[in-house]
Amino acid sequence: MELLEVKNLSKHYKTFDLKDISFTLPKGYIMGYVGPNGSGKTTTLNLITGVLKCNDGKVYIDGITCKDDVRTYREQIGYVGDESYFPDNFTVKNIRSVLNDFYATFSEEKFNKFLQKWNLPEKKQVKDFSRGMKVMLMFASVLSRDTKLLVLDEATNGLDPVMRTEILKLLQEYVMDGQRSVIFSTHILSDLEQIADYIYFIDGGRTVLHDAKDEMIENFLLVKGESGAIPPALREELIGLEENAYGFEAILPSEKAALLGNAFLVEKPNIDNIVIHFIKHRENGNRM
Amino acid sequence: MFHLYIDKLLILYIMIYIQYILAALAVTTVSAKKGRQALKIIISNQSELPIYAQIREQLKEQILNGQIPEGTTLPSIRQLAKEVGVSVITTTRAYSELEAEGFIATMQGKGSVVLPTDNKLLREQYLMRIEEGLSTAIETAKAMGMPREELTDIFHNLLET
Repeated sequence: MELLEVKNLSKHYKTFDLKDISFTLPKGYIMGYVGPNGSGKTTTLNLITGVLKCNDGKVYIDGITCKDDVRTYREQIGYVGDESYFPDNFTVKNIRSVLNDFYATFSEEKFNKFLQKWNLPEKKQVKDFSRGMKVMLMFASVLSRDTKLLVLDEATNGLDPVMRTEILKLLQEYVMDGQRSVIFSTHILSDLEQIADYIYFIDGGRTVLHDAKDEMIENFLLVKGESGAIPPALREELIGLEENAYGFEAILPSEKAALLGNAFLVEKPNIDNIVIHFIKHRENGNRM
Repeated sequence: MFHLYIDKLLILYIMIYIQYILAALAVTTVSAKKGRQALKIIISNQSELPIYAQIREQLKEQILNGQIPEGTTLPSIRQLAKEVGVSVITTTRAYSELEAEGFIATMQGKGSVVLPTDNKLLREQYLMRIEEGLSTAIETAKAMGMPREELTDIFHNLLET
């Protein structure tokens, strides 16, 4: 069963085009939406949440589009961005009463539990919160509602490792019952990589790769070695060749492993390695 | 004086050894308790084995050596993913491969149960590992152009020690 279905999504701006984004995310799974700054991650997520209107394409959340029923559609989504969306002079108390008015499924009890767990002060104004406290407050407000899809736009930026780990656990708990899903965007995957089931990688508004994470990692090898030792047949297949005075690094589709011989160091890449070399590949003047 | 020196050396040696082990296990440890059994899964980010294969191999090992007895219900795919901090697809793959190899059976609503293993299977597993190890040695020897006699000499010498 699909929770999120994105079909041929496009958005045109004067200087930027998001083109033909399509994927499905089944219930109970987590997707990492990755790409460099300005690649169209936020645009895509804003199209999913319905903040932006698309020029072409459709988004279904649990079978309905924004047009079908705006209210239900929006109630299903929990959104956390990289900047606090609460008014600066609000206190937790103000936010609680607004959430109560806005959302039918908001549970004050759940909200208070999160506040207590993360030591969020009741009377302080949001502008005096630390970055971490603001993020946790957003998570508290979102998780105390009955949602089906969490949309996280660079939500863990600038958080310390302890908080990031806490959020990883939260996300895994969220999808635990197999009914709800998470899509998060980020330009650095690091620890988030481990819990992602699917990876969608865009660059310049276009899809570069889209696969189950484990498959994606298996499909490529990270190759290092001496630049002079690269035979021409291999050089043609290397993706994102990065050379320095002492050697090179690149990725290679696993099915081309036969070209390697044993002159090189071959490692299992992580998603960041793959993303970086694909971007390098484009910068080296190759079409993707 | 001399004894003191030896003692210090010994302590230093032990400390280095402990640090070495800790470094080698730059990993996450999880022991998910299910009923009376405790299964252990340690994921290494340094390992060349993909994570699903690490989980598969470690469960297999514990099933084969009896640490996880037959009839044990394993944690659910989602439970395990959460505990170990890996994706659901990863644990799903580990379980389905264990199922394909006949180590566990998954029943709707009952979860995954460890099947009885016979000694033949155990022997096969070890045989495979021995072959793998020897193949690596042979490949390395071939790569450096070592004559066959020298390699067999090494093998026999190692057997003696």
